[in-house]
Amino acid sequence: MSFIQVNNLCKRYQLGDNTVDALQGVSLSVEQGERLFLGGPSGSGKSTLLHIIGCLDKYDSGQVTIDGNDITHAGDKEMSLFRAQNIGFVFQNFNLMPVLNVYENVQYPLQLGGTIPPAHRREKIEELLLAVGLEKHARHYPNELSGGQRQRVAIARALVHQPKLLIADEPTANLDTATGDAIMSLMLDLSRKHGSTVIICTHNQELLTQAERCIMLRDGLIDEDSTATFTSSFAEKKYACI
Amino acid sequence: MLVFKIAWRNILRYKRRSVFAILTIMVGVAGIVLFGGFVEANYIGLRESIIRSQYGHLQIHQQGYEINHRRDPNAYRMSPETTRQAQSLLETAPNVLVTSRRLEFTGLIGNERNSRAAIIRGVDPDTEALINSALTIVEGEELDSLDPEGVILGEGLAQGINAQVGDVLTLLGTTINGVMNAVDVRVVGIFQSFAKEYDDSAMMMGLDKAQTLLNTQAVDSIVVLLDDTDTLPAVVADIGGKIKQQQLAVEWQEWYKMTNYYQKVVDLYNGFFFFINLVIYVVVLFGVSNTMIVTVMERTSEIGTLRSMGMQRSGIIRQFLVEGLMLALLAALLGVATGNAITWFVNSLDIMMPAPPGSSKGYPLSLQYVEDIWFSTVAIVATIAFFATFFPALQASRKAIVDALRHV
Ligand SMILES: Nc1ncnc2c1ncn2[C@@H]1O[C@H](COP(=O)(O)OP(=O)(O)O)[C@@H](O)[C@H]1O
Ligand SMILES: [Mg+2]
Repeated sequence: MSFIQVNNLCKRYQLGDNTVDALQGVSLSVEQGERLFLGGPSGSGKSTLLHIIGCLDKYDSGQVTIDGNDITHAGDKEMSLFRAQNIGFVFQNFNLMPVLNVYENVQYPLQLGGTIPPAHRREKIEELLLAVGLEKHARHYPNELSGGQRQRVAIARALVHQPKLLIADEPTANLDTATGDAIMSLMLDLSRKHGSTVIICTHNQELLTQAERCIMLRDGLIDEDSTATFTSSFAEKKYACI
Repeated sequence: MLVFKIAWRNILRYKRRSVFAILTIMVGVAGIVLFGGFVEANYIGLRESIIRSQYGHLQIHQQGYEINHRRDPNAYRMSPETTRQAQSLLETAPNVLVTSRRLEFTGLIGNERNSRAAIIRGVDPDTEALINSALTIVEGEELDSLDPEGVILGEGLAQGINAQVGDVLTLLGTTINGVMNAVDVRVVGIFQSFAKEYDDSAMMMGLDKAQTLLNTQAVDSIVVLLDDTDTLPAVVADIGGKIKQQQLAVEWQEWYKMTNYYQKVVDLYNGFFFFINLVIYVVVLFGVSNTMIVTVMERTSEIGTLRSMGMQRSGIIRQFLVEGLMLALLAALLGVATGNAITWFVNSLDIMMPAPPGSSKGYPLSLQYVEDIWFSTVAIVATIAFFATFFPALQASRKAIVDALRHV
């Protein structure tokens, strides 16, 4: 069985009288250690898919299994615990805690769960700060850092508890191209070292074309899967969620 | 603990908002501490005035006195023997400062032109002066045991019969055998006691002369003054035991059983105090909830981030509760400290208070330090902060994580 298994995933948002079908029957599988890029126009459902795979959101139908765990019927507590132990997030807006310094921000996930014993935490944090090149900024606060530096902190924070899955939603969208490229390769390097499976969604065409594997979404459907093992017809997908 | 560190740094981070909330609570708490100290000062002032104006802390009577003496005063007085025994028992008890005998009766006081019915009290002049330390001589002098003819009149009574210090008056009374009797007395002083109504008909004289007039050796009461009002319950327990032991045929009454005036004033002030507290706490509630609602709203995306890292809903609530409580407790403690500082300052000004309703004498303002109020105020403010924080935090923790993350 694959590390991530998504079958016929549908998600509908209700906004007053309007309904938006954000995902209309998405199926995919991701192997352990794989690095998957998600592309597609804005509004195509990338974030929605990432949130569901990241155990942040519920869905209407279909099935999602991560590392053998079917999260369809999991409650809030289980999902939280699962995230704390298995998933790291990198966001477009960095989302650092403004009142914590760099060291404390990276330390934070270790307090929420994870498997690293307290005695080894310091070592782990310092190792990651070194890896993202911020060992000299450990006592700095986020507002004293540049965007690129902040995202480095976020990457260290996302990986400190050695998650099996790293999810990044447009991590370079708020950075200039050069910084963005550096951040992207840092993230890919580090996650490989940690053996984490990675799903990144991006608008960067270059990255998408170079990617080992890339899935393009359109209107809540998979438009193209560069290493897809099967391709179902458009009609099949369309009527998959009723 | 990280949760405390984060809470504290957030309080510092949102300075203006924190200062506003802290000031609201501080001013409210300081107000309660001050007003509570003022109310307590009034209770104590009133209590001591009442005790020292005529009642003493405690009075000892012949058994059955309280129920029967109005109907048959002569039959329910203490014999000299009982009086002596009771007095020697009292004088060896701890905390008893002084005891004094009284003989109470009514008579007619006046001269050729004017006379009035008077409530007359025969007293041991030397000890009575100690008990009536709140009784002010407005003209002339106090009673003197060396001047058995001397009497003092209440201000209202003196005016009623147009008597001046130095006047010789005639006092008419009835002996215990039912025979009319008269003695000449001389006005040595005019007094104000605690209650005006009393002064309108009150007169005091030496016990010996009073006993002569009534042709008796008995007394109505032994008035007991303690060195500290707070020791009254202990003293009563002690004396009660000894009275039983010696099988003395006496009963006793504490000062607050002799007048309901004190309790009425206390109830009135308590009503004010409660109302003021209520108003202050409502203001505190709005201040804290306003602060915490804004705080929680502003940190919505942070909540989303924390949740995405695996923090439970309870963890979110805990974080904000710690923050709200930290802010409130800090402010409440500052408020108590401020209240006490102002109390100290006001006391150092030596302000005189006007006479309370129905009385004729003022007393010095001495705001009290009431520890119970400190603790209850801090506890109530903490409770208010808990609820003012809990509900916004609960609501925030229930928000869908993805919505919280999207919140800018
Ligand atoms: N919370 C929401 N409420 C209503 N509609 C939403 C919500 N989140 C996303 N959508 C809609 O779902 C669709 C997919 O959104 P999203 O997954 O954010 O796309 P992408 O990340 O690819 O830009 C869009 O049409 C968006 O407007
Ligand atoms: Mg998106």
